[in-house]
Amino acid sequence: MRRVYEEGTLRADWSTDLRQKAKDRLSRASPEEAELISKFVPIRQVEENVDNVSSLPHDVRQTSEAVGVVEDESTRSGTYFQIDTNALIRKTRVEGLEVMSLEDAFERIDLKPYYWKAVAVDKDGFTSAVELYGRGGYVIVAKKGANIELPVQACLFMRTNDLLQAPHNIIIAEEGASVNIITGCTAMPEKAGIHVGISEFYVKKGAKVTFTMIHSWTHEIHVRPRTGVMVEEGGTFISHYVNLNPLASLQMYPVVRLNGRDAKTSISSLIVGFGKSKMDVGSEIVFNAPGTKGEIISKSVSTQESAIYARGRLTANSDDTRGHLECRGLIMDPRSKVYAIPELIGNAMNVELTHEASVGKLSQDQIYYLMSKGFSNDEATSILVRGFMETKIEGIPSSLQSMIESVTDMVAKKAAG
Amino acid sequence: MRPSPEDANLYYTVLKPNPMLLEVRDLHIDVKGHEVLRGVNLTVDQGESVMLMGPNGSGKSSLIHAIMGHPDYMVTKGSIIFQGKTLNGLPTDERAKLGIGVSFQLPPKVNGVTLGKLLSEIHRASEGDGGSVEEYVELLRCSELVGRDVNVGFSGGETKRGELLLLLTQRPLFSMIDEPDSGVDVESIQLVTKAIGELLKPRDSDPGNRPSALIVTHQGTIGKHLNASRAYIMIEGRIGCFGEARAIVDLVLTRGFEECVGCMRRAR
Repeated sequence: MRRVYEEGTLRADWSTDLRQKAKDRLSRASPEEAELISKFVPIRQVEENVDNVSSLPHDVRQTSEAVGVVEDESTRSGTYFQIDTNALIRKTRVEGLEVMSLEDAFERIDLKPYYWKAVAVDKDGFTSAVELYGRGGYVIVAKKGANIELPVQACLFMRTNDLLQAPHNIIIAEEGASVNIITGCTAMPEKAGIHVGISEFYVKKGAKVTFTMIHSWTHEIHVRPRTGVMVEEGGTFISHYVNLNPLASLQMYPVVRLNGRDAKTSISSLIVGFGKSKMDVGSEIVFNAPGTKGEIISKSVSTQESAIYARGRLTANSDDTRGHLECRGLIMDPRSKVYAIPELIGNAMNVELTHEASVGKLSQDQIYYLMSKGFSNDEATSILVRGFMETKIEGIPSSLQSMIESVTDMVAKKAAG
Repeated sequence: MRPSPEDANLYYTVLKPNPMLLEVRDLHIDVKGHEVLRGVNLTVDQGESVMLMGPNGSGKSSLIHAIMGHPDYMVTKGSIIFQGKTLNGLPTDERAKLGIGVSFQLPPKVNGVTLGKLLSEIHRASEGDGGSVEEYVELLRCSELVGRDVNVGFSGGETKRGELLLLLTQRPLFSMIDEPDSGVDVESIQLVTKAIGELLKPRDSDPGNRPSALIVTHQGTIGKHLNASRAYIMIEGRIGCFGEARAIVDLVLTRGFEECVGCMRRAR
């Protein structure tokens, strides 16, 4: 049976059509979409404000630290913190940067050119649900020419059981601006729910966005991020995605469109699958202009009999474009699985698309090589797993780096038996 | 010149040179059902550098893998004896701990592990025996390689320098160096020669026990630079002949391996 929830209020008078599309799409939701959406509740909470990260409840601070949130806000140029549907902190410390909730942004800036323009509102049942029931999400604007040196931190936190958390984020880097955003998404232990986060990025002429997203969920949380990126002439979009903890299910497929001449992108991901976690993670780069370049580097580690689908697609619609896809899967036990699915699509003649994909256990040649240097089988295995998972991301806090390292240690130790 | 296993033994019983470090006795090796070594006899004394020459595919690298204990290299007959201990069946790391090391011709790439990181791990395990890693980095001009992932995107010369750097840091009692002179320029050959000289210096922890080396080459170029005492020629998985290094190197450089192959076939 399907539960029906009260719709959120219409965002703006111009968004009537979008709302109608969402309704139509949701009425055609697949059984899986319908089940997940109706199982959880898009609660309404009394709005609250908190001045800074250190005033948040202790348990929230502790959990969010592992996904990169720092209390010392002097090392961050801005902070956005949302618990469930409530945007508690939204502030900036520097000129040229705005950090707002989606609701603030509708009052303060013209969102019409950005709202559901990089992700279609009727893409699937989940995007539709965000339009209908969503609340919160951040809007970050780096103003024309602003070079925002310190990272902006954002956190989407699930605290209430059985929650449908559906934030809609919009990131705009105006002409020549540069900004580095670190977003952590996490939940209190033992909670069930679904997180559907929409992220729309607009990287304008000569602008640069570096985006790091860390997910750390729990066994009962389903995750369906929906991300679209538009990059204009000479713009750069760099993204890192890290997911190192168990969850119920994850499906995501961000699409980066390089629309302007010489636009560039680099998308990397590191995911570890555990037991029953169902993970289907991919990304696509669409090359729409000459001189565009892009790479996807995907690393998956499948442990405890898990299954990971690692997808990647390069679509070249313009001449003089270059793309590379690297897809590597490491299988840690005989019953774990990695399905690597690379796709290269050339719709123009003068394109250069390449891919390298490899899936398997650690190479026996590498183990022998390290053993010949005096390392035991276990030590060699551990060195190789660490090497496979090695991730260096610019600007991430030490708490996050140590979280990545501790999961790496754990996987390496398990691998070494 | 044709030797038999008995000739090799005669060399020891009659001449009694330095104590023997390594003895390979009538070694037969199978790799995935193919016989790659068909009765190899070879010895290396303490403090000696020995050259192993032969055409491509004659089994030189196979002998290295067999001595190092590669899991795919099955001993079907014969034995490998190091410092009086039979190595048959011993895992690779145990052999390394006994003091055997290799500079590989085609080492695998190790993504995510920098050369510097691997060096410090090896240095830690070797308890600082020998010179400092920095000195060796300087000696082999590897300062630009240490920050890069091991063998990832290395040129031929860089791979050799990296391997020798790892070997120097490991400081084995017995170094096997596979093709140090193939595809490198004169300057690199000089570096390689220096590194081999360094490898042969006694270790601080064991000054009385001079290290040895087995240098594998199909060209013989390096033979002109090294002060090797003996050389073996390997043909089709067997030792064709052995003798004084200079004589053998000259023979190979002037006449190639054609004659060795013929000589060996006639003798069979």
